[in-house]
This record gives sequence, structure tokens and C-alpha cells, in this order.
Amino acid sequence: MLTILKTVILAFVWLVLPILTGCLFGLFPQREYRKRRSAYLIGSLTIWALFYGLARIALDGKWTLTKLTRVFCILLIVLTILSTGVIIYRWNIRALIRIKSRANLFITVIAALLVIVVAGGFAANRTEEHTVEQVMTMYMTDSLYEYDAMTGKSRADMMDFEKETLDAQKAAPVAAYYAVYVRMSNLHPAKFVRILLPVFLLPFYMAVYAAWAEYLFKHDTKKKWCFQIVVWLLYAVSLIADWSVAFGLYQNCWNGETLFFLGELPLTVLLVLGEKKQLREIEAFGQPYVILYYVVSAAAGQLLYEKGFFFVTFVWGAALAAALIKRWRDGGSLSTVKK
Amino acid sequence: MAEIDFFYQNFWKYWNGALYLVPYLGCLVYLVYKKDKKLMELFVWPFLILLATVYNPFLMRPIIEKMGWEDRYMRFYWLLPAEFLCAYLLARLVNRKAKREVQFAVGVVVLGIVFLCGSSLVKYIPDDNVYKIDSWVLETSELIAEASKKENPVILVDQEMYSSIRQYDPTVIEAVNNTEMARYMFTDTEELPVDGQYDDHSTAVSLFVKGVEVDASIMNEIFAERQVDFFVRNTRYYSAEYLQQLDLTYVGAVEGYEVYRCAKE
Repeated sequence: MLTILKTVILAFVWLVLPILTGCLFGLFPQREYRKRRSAYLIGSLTIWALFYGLARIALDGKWTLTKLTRVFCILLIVLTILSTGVIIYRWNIRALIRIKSRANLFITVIAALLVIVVAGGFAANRTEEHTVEQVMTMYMTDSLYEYDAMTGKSRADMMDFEKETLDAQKAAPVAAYYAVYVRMSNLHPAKFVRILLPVFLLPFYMAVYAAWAEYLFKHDTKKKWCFQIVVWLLYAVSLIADWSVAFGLYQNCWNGETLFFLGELPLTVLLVLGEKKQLREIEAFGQPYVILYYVVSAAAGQLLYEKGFFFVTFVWGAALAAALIKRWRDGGSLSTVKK
Repeated sequence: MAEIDFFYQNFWKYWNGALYLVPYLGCLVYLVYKKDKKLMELFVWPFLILLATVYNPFLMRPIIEKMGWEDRYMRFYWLLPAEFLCAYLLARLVNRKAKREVQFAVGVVVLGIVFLCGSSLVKYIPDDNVYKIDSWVLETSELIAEASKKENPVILVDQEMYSSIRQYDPTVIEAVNNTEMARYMFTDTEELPVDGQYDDHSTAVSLFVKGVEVDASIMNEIFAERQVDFFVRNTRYYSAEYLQQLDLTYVGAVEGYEVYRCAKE
């Protein structure tokens, strides 16, 4: 019974709270992406970004996992209260929970069942994937990156290169993020990572590709579904041979690198592009919500992958450069505001 | 020339199934031919920007050297939206205005190409347990936990067990480090430098975990030096005569492995 309750609370934090948090962006007057799915995606990035900021403080301050978990729980409670308040005050709650299409609901339920089958049925034990060990080590030692996950040695017993490896892991503390949830629920890390995380994360991937389908095909439902089916097929029957971590979407979707390259980066590109099917104008990059998109995507990227900040910044920088070139090519002054 | 070779090697490391590069480049050429401005902005121009920047050896070589990203450069190829572009054009192809039979035939051909060209990564293996950890790992962990008097027993295991035993029970401490375990990971048994066992204990232990019957006196020294409490033997390795020379006491067995306490009784 307690396990079910814990799972329900975790499901709320991973699947519902991102939607509530994403709705906070509704406070910006001109912001884009007002759909429930967009709120979920942006909300997820926001929570990851907030955790990254908190983790940096925790790692610098040598906090224990328990302390980090407590502070993060408070943050989640504040986010829940704040976002619920904003929704009640500013949004029509009915619009948020209204089911617009029964067919879509049916397909979503089928997709959810498929996700659970994938999560529950696949043996995902790949020798090069060490998230479970990392989470387990932090959980059992109540510490953050103080012990080698593979050997169990403490920092004092490590050689220099082992310390360097451990410090490199700190740069993208995604395992600490999962460890916080394990500490919160006291579930076995292997169960949490291998059974629950796919259930919580595959919807994120699905939402990203659905958002791309929406961007590319707007109102053509048939093409949208076809696009998504082909993308998932291409990932299942990989383009590339068996070296790839990134293409292990079905095997270890929780892996930070996989989540970054197959989930967050495509979403970042969408945020960079904006809702219109053309590049953002140069003025748009100065909008507060666009700046916030960059901040949350960069911080979330760094949480997931050690070069995440660089890749996200590169994408945003390239888009900014393209917008500048476009304005220059169109013959407009950079300081001239279009009427 | 060596610089170009670095980029060439990375390219093939990523695109070793280069068959998929053909449809991707084909899609790009098609978009240029169609002169669809929006899709050009979305797919073609980013590709050209990438060619001029992160895939440009002359620009990237000094950056990579400065940042120390040699082992990560291949990741840059993940920026290519190959799947997205292929999926986009396939979705359009399948759904173009044609008879239902033609649409169906196109769909079948597309599926055929996808399955024939790719190398399947997804192998369905039924799970042994709810932890998704091999059952012999769980049973070994439990054997050690029962037999151990210490809170954090030090163990010596082979490569296979090394990568998974701490997923279930993190109280155990490995007697070898990652470098020692990985030193001969990709070396065939026949090609192992067996004489290296006399160089130093680190090399000796690397050979031992690959199944080499290292001089028993050296191994007994290593057991004592590293305070190893339990040795988990892969039953494919080491003869019974050899095991008798080691200071070990039999504890129990699971499928494929035997657990020994590192002390003669």
C-alpha cells in the first residue's frame, strides 16, 4: 500500500507537476506554447534546471543526500502551491483538464500501456550504463559523489585519476537527481531506475516528438502520427551500429546522455525555432520568456550531460547568428524595429 | 594529414552504417530541388552551418585540443537531424495524394527499407526479477552478505560480475579499480601477456580477472595486501588444482559462479 502511495506521489512529481510548472510561463504576456503538452515539456525543463542550480550549491557545500532531498522537497512543494495558485487565479482550470478529442485520449492510453510494457518487460542491463550503481552508492552512503560507484572506494582511498573521473560525473549530476527521488521514496534504486523512470521519461520523449510533429504538420493528424511512428521505428531499428549510447532509447532512456541528445536537444531546437514555421526575428531573442527558455534549457542540459550547456548554447548562438544574418540580408538595420 | 585522419575516423565511427547517410543527404538535395524556403531554413541551412563550424577540421582541431574533447567529438554528429528529416519526408511520401493501395505499398516499402538497413539494437530478453539484474548476481550478493562478518566486505570478481554486482548490494568494495579491470578487456585470452604477472601486482590482478592462472604465491600476496574477504570465481576459469594452491575456503555456489572466503581453514 505504501509503495503504491509512493509511486502515486512520484507520478505526480514527474508527470503532473511539470504541467503545473509550465503553466507559470503563462504569466508572460506574449509567450508561446500554450498547450498542455508544451506546458509539460517546458515545466520538465524548468524543474531539471532548478535542480541543477540546487545541486551546484549542494555539491559546493558538501551537503548530504538527505539534506539535498529535504531542500528539493520544499522547492517542489513551493512550486506546486505557486503554480496551482497561478492556475486558479489566471487560468481557466477546466481548459487545462478538458479532453478535446476522445480519439486522442484513446491513442494516448494505448501509448501509455505500450510504455509500461516496454518499461516492465525489457531487460536493460548494459555493462556500460552505471546509473543504478551511482544512485545506489549515493543512497547507501548518504553522500553526493564521494564514493566511486563501481568500486565502492571512498575519495580518500582513490587514486588521482579516479578522483578526476568522480569530479567529471559531478559536472552533470543527473544521478544525484535520481538519487533524490530514491531517498524521497526509499524504493530500491534498481527498481526506481529500471521500472519507474522509463514510465516517467518515455512520455517526455513522446511529447517531444509529438511537438515536432505538430510543428512540421500543423493540422494534418495522419501525417503527424505517421511522422511519430517512423521516428520511433528509426530509433528501434537503429541507423547506427551497436556502439551508440544515444540510440539506446529503448534500453536506457534514463541515461543522461540519451535523455539529452534524444529528448532535450530536439526540444531546445523547437524552443529556438518558436511556434512559427520560420526563424525567430532578432527582436524575439530579447523577450523575457525567450531568455528564460534559454536559461532553463541550458541548465537542464548541463544537468543531463557534461557538455550539455555547450551544445544548448551553440544551438541558441547559431539561431541568433542566423537571425542577424537574415536581418542583414533583408537590408534592415539591427536597431530598427519592424512595423 | 593526421588531423584529417582524426576527423575521418570519427566520421566512420558514427556513420559506420553509412547506408543511412544516403537517404539523409538525398532528403537534403530533394529540399534544395523543391526550393521550399521554410524547410531549407529548418534542415538545409543548419546542415551547412554545421559543415562550416563543428564539422570543419581546420576550425575544430585547435578547439578540440584546447578543450580536450577528443573522445567526445563523435557526439557532434548527433546534431544531424537525420531521423527527423527522413521521418518527415517518409511521412509525406506515405500520405501523399494517391490511391490507398499505392499508399499501402509505399508504407510496406518504407518499413522494409527501415528494417533491412538498420541494425537492431533492441533484443527482447525476459527479465529475471523486478530489479532487472541477472539472478546469479543477486544470489552471489546474498551469499556474500550471509557469509560476511564485515559491514563492507572487499571482493574480487571477474569482468562480468564487476559491472553489475554493486547494482544490488553497494556495501561490497571491489579489490580492483576500473583501470585494472579494463586493462585487458578487449584482449583475446591467447594474446594476453602472461609474463606481465611478474612485473607488478596491478598487472597480475588484471590478468587474473581475465582467467589467467597467475602464480599462486603472487595471488596470495595480493589477497593479503588488498585485504580481500571474498573471491568470486567464474566457473569457466581456473582449475581445481590451481584453486587448491590459493588461500581460499569454499562458501557456496550459484549458477556459473563459486564464492570463496579468502582464508584457509
